[in-house]
Amino acid sequence: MKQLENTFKLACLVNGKRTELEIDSSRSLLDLIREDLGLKGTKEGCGEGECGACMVLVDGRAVNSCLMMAVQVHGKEMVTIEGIKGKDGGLHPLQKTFIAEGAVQCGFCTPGLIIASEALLRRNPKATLEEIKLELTGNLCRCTGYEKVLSAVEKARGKK
Amino acid sequence: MEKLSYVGKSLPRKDALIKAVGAAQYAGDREFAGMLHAAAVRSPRPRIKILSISDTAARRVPGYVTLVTYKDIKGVNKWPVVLQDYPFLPEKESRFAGETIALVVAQTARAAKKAAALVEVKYKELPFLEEPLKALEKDAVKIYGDDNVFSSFVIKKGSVDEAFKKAAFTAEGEFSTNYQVHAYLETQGAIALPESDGGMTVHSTTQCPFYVLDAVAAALSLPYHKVKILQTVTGGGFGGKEDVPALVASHAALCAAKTGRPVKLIYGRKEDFQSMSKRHPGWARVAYAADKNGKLTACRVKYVLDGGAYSTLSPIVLWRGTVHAAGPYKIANVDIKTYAAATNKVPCGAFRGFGQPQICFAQESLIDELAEKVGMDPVQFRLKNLLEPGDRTVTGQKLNSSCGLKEIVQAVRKKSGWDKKIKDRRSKPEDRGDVATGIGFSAVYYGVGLGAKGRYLDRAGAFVNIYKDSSVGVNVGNAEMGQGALTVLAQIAAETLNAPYESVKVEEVDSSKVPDSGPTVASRTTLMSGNAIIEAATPIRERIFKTAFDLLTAMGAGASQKMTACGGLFSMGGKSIDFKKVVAECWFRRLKMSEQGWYAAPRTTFKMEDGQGDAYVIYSYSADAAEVEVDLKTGAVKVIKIWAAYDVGKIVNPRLAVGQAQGGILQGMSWAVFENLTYRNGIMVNPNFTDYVLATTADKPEYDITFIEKPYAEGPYKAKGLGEIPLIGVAPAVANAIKNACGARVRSVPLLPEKIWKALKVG
Amino acid sequence: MPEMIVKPATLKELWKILPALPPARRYLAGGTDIVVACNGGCESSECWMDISDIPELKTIKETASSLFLGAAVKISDLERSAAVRKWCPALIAAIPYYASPSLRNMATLGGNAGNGSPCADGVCALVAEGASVLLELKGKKRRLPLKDLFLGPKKTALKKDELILGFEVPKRARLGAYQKLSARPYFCISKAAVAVTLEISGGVIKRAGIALGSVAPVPLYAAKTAAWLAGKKLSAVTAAAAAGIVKAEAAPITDARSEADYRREMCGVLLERALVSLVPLAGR
Repeated sequence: MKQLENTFKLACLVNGKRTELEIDSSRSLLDLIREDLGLKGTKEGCGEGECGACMVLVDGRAVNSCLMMAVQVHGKEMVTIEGIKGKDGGLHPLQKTFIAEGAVQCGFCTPGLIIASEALLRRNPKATLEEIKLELTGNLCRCTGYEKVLSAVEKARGKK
Repeated sequence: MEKLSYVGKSLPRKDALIKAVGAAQYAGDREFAGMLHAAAVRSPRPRIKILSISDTAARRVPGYVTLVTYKDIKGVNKWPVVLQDYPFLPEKESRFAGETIALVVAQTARAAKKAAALVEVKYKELPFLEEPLKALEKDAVKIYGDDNVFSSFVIKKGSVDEAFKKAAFTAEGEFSTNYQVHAYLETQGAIALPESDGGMTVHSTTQCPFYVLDAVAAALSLPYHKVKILQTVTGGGFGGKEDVPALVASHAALCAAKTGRPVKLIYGRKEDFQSMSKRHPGWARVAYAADKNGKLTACRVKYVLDGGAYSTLSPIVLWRGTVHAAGPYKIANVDIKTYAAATNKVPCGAFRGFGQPQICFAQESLIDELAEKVGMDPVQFRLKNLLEPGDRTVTGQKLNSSCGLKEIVQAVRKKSGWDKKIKDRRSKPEDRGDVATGIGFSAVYYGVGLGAKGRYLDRAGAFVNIYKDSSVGVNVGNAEMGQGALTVLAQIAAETLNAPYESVKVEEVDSSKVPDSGPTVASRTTLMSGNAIIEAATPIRERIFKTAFDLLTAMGAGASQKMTACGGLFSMGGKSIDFKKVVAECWFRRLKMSEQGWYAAPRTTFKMEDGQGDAYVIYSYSADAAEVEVDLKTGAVKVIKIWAAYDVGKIVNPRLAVGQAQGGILQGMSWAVFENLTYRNGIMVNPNFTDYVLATTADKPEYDITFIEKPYAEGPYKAKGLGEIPLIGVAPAVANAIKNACGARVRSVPLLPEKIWKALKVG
Repeated sequence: MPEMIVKPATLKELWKILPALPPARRYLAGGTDIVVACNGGCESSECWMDISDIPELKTIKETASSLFLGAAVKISDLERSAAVRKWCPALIAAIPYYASPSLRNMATLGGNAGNGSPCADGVCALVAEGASVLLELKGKKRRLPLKDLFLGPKKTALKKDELILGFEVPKRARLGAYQKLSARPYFCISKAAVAVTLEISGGVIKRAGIALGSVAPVPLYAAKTAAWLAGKKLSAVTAAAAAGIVKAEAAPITDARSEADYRREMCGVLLERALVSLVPLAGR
């Protein structure tokens, strides 16, 4: 049954930019991001949705791009770590607090953690420490012991 | 001593910005024109005789390029690591499920994986070994030598049998610990690029670029100067990127050599679990004897590590475990025997603590059991027996003044409210419902650096180069893997040169720019590379200081006054001049603004025959108290808080040091209560984060961390080493806290609810 | 990974294109089960049919007697729905323990039910809610009690190409609770889980729904325990007695996640805790 079309015309918003491209329909969202769009800030840590290194925002919500297929962002808005910026176009408050608090060590989990934290603070700008802890359970970090990550998110609350 | 400008300050991490914006280039992020992709063909069974390997089916995958087997190895098919029993690719026999048998190269990573799955390996199954204790039995199948023993050590001192006979109190127990998976978030990977002169450049995520150099040069049969290893930004190591990246990089290099094109090889998480190194499962029988006053008199240990299918780093991991097996105590009579056994499972190697956490869990649990028999509080019992400056360790090494063990134990005792908590638990065992709380303690010592067993590798180089614009480039041979080496070493360079911190850049390792500096392990980087930087920078410093003095004098500052140097500024008699201007003048004077540095660790005297002599150049120390809640109905444990204190010498960057401590504690806690890698019939059951669970944000305990800085005269600005010690004492502190909470003494890690539940049921 | 993915915009389009698709084909909803199963480089010649954006499957609708939860509604959308919060107390109680926040933004109950795993927290809770499942195959619809969808580990009563449209939960006032034990408290597959719903009047249980996760080949409806609870006064004593009954109803095995005897015992502990947690609410 090879006569069926195996390509898909994908249209979506990527970091604010209208993006249209023809893709192999069986492509994962993570491959689309890293290989087709060349956005390498989104990482593959496990390929099973367990570590959160591949998180991006789709329609404002954090998702694991390793478990989504590219066709599933059709007609949607996607933001990757490269699209996370402050109001002035510089560093986002979360990026500033992650750096200042010492929440970055090897850094491989950092983009995913910032995406997950951004999704939380957009929805719940006054999130409590307990809420932050529960929201970030899907982001493994093997370096920091999480303490500085949590304080970075707490310090970013209410900042634009 | 002069006031320090940078050392001792929480300066910002050099690499935090690029990591926070997603711009850091890890191995998998790098692209090269014409690059191909490789994927491994892996053994499906624990031990097989390979009959044939065929790519007939794989060839049909669009994008397929070639198959690489041992036949493509131009060099000797022996990975050069310690005992050299691990081939780059197996020829006749594969010894564990998951071992790379061959590699497939294709146009895309997806095609390579698809084709690798279609490569047909015909094989015959061979009898295999799963249990290390069984491997040591006489009638076991032999898979290594004539006894399945990779390595074995002893420490013998005094007369142990007599001491046990005379003892007023003894305690003995069998303990075991399971694997620990490093779970660095970035999996293993490498990119190999063939050079026009027949050489090979390799981008590698690694802690040990020079191990990669050794291996790639051996596999390709190239002189070292035709091989260049560039360490990529490394997404965590913890020991897991000590030896095995050399194997991964060699595989990539073999593929690149065969195809003449750049080849990228990035591991998926499952294959990383199945084939890359792990913390050894450990088994130990430990016995202590004490006199009627509670003074330790003897210790007997038999300690076995499950080495897996190849020896890799087992001999040195075992040696560190051996040296520290009796714990940080004054003990006159010691009999320690240790073995690393071969089994047909994943080869185990380095992991933060390096053979110490397993035996520390055993002996620090047993110290509590003995204290109970003696009728002493476990902290008091430890204080009575702990090592102090001037004491001799079990290897007969006399400790110098950089030993703050008793002070850190007292600090943790005080901060955790130990005495009151223990008293309260004894006097009023309150009605607790389903939840009981308890507190437990441990004390640890840790030999910094490679010690006697690795003495020939215990040296490091550095290259310090001040450019005309006064920016400072530093090359070292030890790696940044997340721990903060680039930052700490930049602080040391800036301090020595009186250069502004912002102007100093320490680069990721390029093997062609610095001499072999040994591995980035054993908490040795600050000490070794730090000292090498100081050695390189000191003559430049002299030139800069002399020039600054001249300039200030010319500016009218009275030459009789003392010049001060602080934060990149030179001042004298009310006049000041900055580093940039001084460097410009140095260049104008054609002074030498670059230097090589070299530091070799002092000699150690340890003798392998009886385990006596100086084992390490210096020791770091830690004490932990853990507070836990135990659910008495389910056996579930929640670690509430960890108090820890460390003597690791001078702290170069307090914020980074606290981060290292917190991260190490959580790794230790996660291993103690959650992490449980299992095998069934020689096959790994849970090679994934779904069923090999790690601590998350929700499981994180509260941390209370104290540093007591006992200066180490030989260390860079008096520093020792910090990386590993925070992990080591956590598991026994948690186990002792569980015992304190509910009476259940669990002698195997992980401290699973099922085990606690059973212990409670038995009562 | 599959060979190809098609993405029909509507149900009508799905049934139209279906006959032309390769015979090896499966539905893709949230991807959190199906993609995991083929990751690590597994390639197949399958065709996946992405139904995650079909509008009919993404609605939450109330009728006079029931609440319809579309098969492709994201778990996080269920959590935010006032109607779900009102009528599905056990499901709402289960959601914090359902995978991770980001996976809840992707995963669907339809996908979990179709996957047929005995560990699925949401499915277990829905069984306790007394839900029915609505199925469709090329325009032909049928309905089953959800508990009867599951035949064995990863085996369901779904026919080839049969699609789960959604679930119907009866609109009856009830209390709900969810208790779970797993290797770590959050974001972890259960060793044992218990979902409970209770309809209570004057302190007496009128109707109970009990479902057990990870202790049988299927998400297990604990019929005997539920029947025993009916007519009893909700109290700590009742809870303790029910714990004894439910232990006999569970059929756990020893596997990599836990041990059979521990799991059986824990069913009792978890049920007792779930029931006791509802005691203070029973009077309201």
